[in-house]
Amino acid sequence: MSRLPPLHVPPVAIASLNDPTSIADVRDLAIAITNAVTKIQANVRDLGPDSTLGVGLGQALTSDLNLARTLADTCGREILDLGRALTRANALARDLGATGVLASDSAFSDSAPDPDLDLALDLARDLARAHGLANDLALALAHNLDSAHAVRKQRGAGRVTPLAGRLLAAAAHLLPAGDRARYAEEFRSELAEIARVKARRRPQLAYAARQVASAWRLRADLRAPRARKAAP
Amino acid sequence: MKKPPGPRMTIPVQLVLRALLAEPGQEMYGLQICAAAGLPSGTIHPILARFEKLEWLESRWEDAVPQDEGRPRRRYYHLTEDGAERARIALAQATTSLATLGLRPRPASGLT
Repeated sequence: MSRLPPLHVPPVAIASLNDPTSIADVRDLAIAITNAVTKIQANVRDLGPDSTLGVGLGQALTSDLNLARTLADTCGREILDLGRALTRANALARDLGATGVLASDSAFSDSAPDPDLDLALDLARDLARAHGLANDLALALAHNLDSAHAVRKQRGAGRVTPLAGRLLAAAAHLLPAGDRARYAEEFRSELAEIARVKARRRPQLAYAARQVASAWRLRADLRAPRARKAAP
Repeated sequence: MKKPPGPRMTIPVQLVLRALLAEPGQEMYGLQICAAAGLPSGTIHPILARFEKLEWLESRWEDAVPQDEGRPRRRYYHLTEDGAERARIALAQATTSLATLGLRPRPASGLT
């Protein structure tokens, strides 16, 4: 059997998944990996049922191809689940790496017949290429998963806890009608500041609870007659 | 003529006045005053309202547009010139010594 031509997989650079073009690149890469594994499996199948190398790699490649198809399916969905895609890309990269090792070991095995040596090396080369692609995809997904977490965290900062907002509205409602709007806005402003700086729910609720607790006192102070420039 | 009643110089009141007097010309919003006075947020509005009634304090909404800033407007407070003078006198006359109680206001700063 003649030597196998190297796998041709066009390079796919994935920078960020923030735009549809990059998501399309991820899908293209997942499909390219699937096609590469399909091609390798076809090459192994061509070795025939008597080939020791073919028998050894055939089973591993069936598993690899299933993983690649599942990954392509995950990446092809309308809404890309980065976490799931990353798990699958990692699993595929790991398995392709193991299959590549199996091909190399077969090539240098003492019991391997001579005609299989070159084929095994070619298969190991192609598997290394497919493994590299899967790793690239996993890295791109991991990078974007980190970015997505950072974006989510950033969006979380500054989010006002609804219960705190309702407590503050109740506190403002206790105040004299003429002052209600002013203090409601001031309370909201301070709550937004706490949410922005501390983000967590507890400080927001503590702030709102203290405003409720001091609302009666504030109401009394606001209703007291104006005393001009009093001396203590 | 009967002297109008002055504020009760409780510890929180003294802490707020000291925080405001640290930089009398500077405007501060509620949470800044809390931080500078070392008081929990959400506890000073009755005190500020009292001093506004006394005209020791003035307040105003900041000029920023909430949509531009991405947050509601802040309400800024500052001591009036007369208020700052009266606050100094009130603090000097306050019978309660913060030092004796081991309470000292924090230096004026933001929320960070």
